[in-house]
Amino acid sequence: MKRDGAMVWLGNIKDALWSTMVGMGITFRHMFKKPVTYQYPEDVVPVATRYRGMHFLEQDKCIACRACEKACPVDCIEIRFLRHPGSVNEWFEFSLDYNKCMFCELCCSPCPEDCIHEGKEFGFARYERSELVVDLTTWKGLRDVDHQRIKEAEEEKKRKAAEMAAKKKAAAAKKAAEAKKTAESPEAKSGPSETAKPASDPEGSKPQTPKPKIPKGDAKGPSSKKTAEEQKPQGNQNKGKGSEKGKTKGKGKKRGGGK
Amino acid sequence: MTVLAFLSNGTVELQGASGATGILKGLAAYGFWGYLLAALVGFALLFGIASALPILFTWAERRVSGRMQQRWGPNRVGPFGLIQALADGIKLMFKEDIIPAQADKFLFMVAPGIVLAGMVSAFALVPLSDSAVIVDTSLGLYLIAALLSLEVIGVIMAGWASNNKWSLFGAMREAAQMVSYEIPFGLCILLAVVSYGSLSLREMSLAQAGGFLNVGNWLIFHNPFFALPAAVVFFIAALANTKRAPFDLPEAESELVSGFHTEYSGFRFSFFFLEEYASMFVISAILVSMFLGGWNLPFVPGSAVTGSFGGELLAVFTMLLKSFVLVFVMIWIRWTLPRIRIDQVMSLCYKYLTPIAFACLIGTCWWELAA
Amino acid sequence: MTTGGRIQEHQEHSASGEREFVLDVRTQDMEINMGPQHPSTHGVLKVVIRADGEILTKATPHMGYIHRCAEKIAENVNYDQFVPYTDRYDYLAAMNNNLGYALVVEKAADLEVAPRATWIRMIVAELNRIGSHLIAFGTYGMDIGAFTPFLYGFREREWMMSLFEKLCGARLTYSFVFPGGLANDVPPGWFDELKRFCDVFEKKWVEYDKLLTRNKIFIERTKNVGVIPAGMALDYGLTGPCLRGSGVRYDLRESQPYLFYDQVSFDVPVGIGEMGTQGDCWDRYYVRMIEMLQSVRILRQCIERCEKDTTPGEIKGNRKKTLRVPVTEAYAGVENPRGELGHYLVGDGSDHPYRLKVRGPSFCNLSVLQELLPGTMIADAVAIIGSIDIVLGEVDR
Ligand code: SF4
Ligand code: SF4
Repeated sequence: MKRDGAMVWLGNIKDALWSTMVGMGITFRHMFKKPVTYQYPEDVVPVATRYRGMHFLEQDKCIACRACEKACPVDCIEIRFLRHPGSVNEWFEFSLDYNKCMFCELCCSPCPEDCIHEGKEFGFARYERSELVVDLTTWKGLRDVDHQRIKEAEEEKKRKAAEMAAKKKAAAAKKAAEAKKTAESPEAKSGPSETAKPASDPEGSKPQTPKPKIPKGDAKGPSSKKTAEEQKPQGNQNKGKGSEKGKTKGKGKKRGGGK
Repeated sequence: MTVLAFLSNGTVELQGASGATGILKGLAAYGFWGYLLAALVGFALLFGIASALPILFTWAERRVSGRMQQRWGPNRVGPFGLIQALADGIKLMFKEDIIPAQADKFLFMVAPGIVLAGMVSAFALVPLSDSAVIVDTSLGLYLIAALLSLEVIGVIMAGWASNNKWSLFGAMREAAQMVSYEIPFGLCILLAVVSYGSLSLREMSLAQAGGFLNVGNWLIFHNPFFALPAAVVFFIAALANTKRAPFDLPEAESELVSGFHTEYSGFRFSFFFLEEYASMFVISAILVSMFLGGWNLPFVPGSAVTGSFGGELLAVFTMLLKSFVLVFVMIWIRWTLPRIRIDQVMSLCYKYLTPIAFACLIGTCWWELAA
Repeated sequence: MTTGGRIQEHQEHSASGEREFVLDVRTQDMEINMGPQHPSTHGVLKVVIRADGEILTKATPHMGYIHRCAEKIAENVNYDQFVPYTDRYDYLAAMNNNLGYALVVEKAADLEVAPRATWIRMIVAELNRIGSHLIAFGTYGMDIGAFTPFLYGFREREWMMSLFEKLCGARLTYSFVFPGGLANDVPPGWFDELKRFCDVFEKKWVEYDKLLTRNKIFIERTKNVGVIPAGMALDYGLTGPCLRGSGVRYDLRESQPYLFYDQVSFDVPVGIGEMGTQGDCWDRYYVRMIEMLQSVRILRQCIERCEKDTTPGEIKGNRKKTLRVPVTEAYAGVENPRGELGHYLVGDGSDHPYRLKVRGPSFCNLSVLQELLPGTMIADAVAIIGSIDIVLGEVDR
């Protein structure tokens, strides 16, 4: 390739013309190839089966365990519900903030019921930011089935409570009889049961503070006994979640207030 | 134009200053108002052509570039997206015409007009056929070269008045490039003048009729050793003169944002746009007239303009076709080649094109002497 | 070489009788902001340049326009949750970023990865390298003024993206390589398509070579421009094609093999000054072009090994669900398309990093700009910035 003098000059001309011609040949050949682009609104680009688009929720499977909410790195899932007896959830909101969501699918894998998925829908152009906060629930509140289940569960519980009471009574009577019989104290038995109660109480009392945040919860009027019951499992999760959970709760409250 | 000439005259004048020029001259006989009317009609006509062709070319550019890049190109407005450019033009007209607060307002507003005016006037000098020529003077080529170089003033004005540093860069590049490329451009024109002994494009075309296969008299075949390289040099210089890639330095998108028209928007921007495409056509037409046989149809002996309506139409068609092919080549080159750097633009001009053009000119003189 | 108005208008005689040249035309350098909204600063890089005519006398890169506190975010989210953030530093090579991060977490937490997962990691990393270099190729052509190569590059990149879409569902920010494993196994038929991609790509590569690489104008624009001598490249801590373009044979895949890079054979291209000086823009560009071919070579070997040695579905390592890193420190570097992407992780026994430091290749490569730009032309500046191939997402992080 080393040239000198006039040969450089001629060589440059030759190279320039030749390489231009080669390049033009390539572009010319491409003119007769089929375009590879899609005419967007008419031909929609096919998406793969694993495509990570807009989420969808199988609400009847969801147990409101908040695992997805916890897994999301940007806290864009917001779940508000009320747990009724019989693990029935009264749904208020399961919303996804697509302003923040980055479609990482991290929310989908930890779901124990495998009920939140990323779908094939894409194209999120909206006129308002608020329109990008999408509620994924298919129903809100309680369905007839749920009412039924709550009733059943309550009856069941009452029945159980009654049974328990009866048992206790019987046991107490027995104990009394035994105590009368023997001077040995049965304290060793009753002791633990008494200590267990206070232990569970603080857990129950913790969520007492966020309780009023759940709107309409009290108004709908499950008895106070019920609310205490229903808060229990939530309280347990609260503990696991730590400070992060607190944040989402706070936000939820604000947004709820705004609406 | 021919059509207009037919409609108004009924018969065709074929000799000398004829056709549309004839009507205008006739009008001018009615004194001042006649002149005014003639001027207005002429202007409307020219402006019509000067903006109709660019619309076609913008479509072609997009479509061709699209296909070269395996895209569709415009395909929504009209069949094959043919009126896309028109739609864009209308859009540009209704867009806000922004004048930067710190710009030199008068120059800023005038610059696009100057750029376009030179180009539109140059249209008047391009002969499409023997009679389809608006202004046929014996100084045609000289005038065209002058009008084409008028553009540089407008561009410098635009770049300066925008009060934008990128625009200024664009303007300076344009000045350097245009002034340099006038030399090989002029030399190639001289070559043609030497060959034909005339400055009139019409006469050049006439002189190229006939010959072997009806192409033998084309300058590039008539004088293949010197005219052919000169035609190539002229084409390259033409690319530089019209600021087409790879010489699009004044508006180099990736370097100077948009160069001299960075600050322009709306209608004024469309002037630059029209100018670019119009000048592509004008320069191609000159090249065709000088080197590629003008309106003479190749391979069909005796198809030279015979004075019949059909012959005239064929000539116009041939001329347009040849020019369009060259315009297509310009588009094609643009979508193939990278951009040259400013110092390379200069060295290409002074080290390569100018010497080659000179050699060709001298060679042609010799050739003509020998012939 | 300098232009401008240094015109020696008239000569005067000084007291000593010697002639002195006096400048009659006074010129001033022009200071211009190139960027952040400039077509060829590859994002939001701002270079404040001083120009004497077309010649630059000074250039100062400014950055930070899209700083997103990635390192700080890492301290506040758990190990898995940070993966999507790694996608976003060098968004053209998200897989490689995922991989770099996953490797450091694995090193710190002592995780083992299944062989199949490792092979797939190599495949996605190399495939993404091709995609990233395709963008480098296309945008470089665009910087130089050729539009069409860009579209051609995107055509192949589109295929690459749809391959990734089939693999993990995303087209740009993959979040596919997780500490300890992968998000998914490959879907059936994916390897076959990848093989087809490799075959087609090699053919298209020849086309790129003819259209742009060997174009006279392109060569003239890039040869002898922005020359980085090997010493300077080392001084500035350049890595990747910028370093190899200067003739230094340093590639983490070869010098400190991670994954199974020691089990595949490939060449590390270095710049030899084929067109002009060693270490010029053309060399850097060409190193990238050759690397694409080498990546195809690696891909072929990986696919073969992966299909032969492993059974589908075995991508689980010894990772537990919640990932905790003990009190430890670890560094892992991977060869990203743009150079060495290093992660330095300090764990504190919890499920999120105590500190994560990211060494981004683009950021370090950018530092050489100040040295290169003065004395070049504006058009060269564009060529140089393009040849360094920065991604501002990573520079700013
Ligand atoms: S995809 Fe990622 S960002 Fe979006 S909701 Fe799920 S976890 Fe959150
Ligand atoms: S992880 Fe699944 S089950 Fe739990 S709240 Fe989310 S969607 Fe419902």
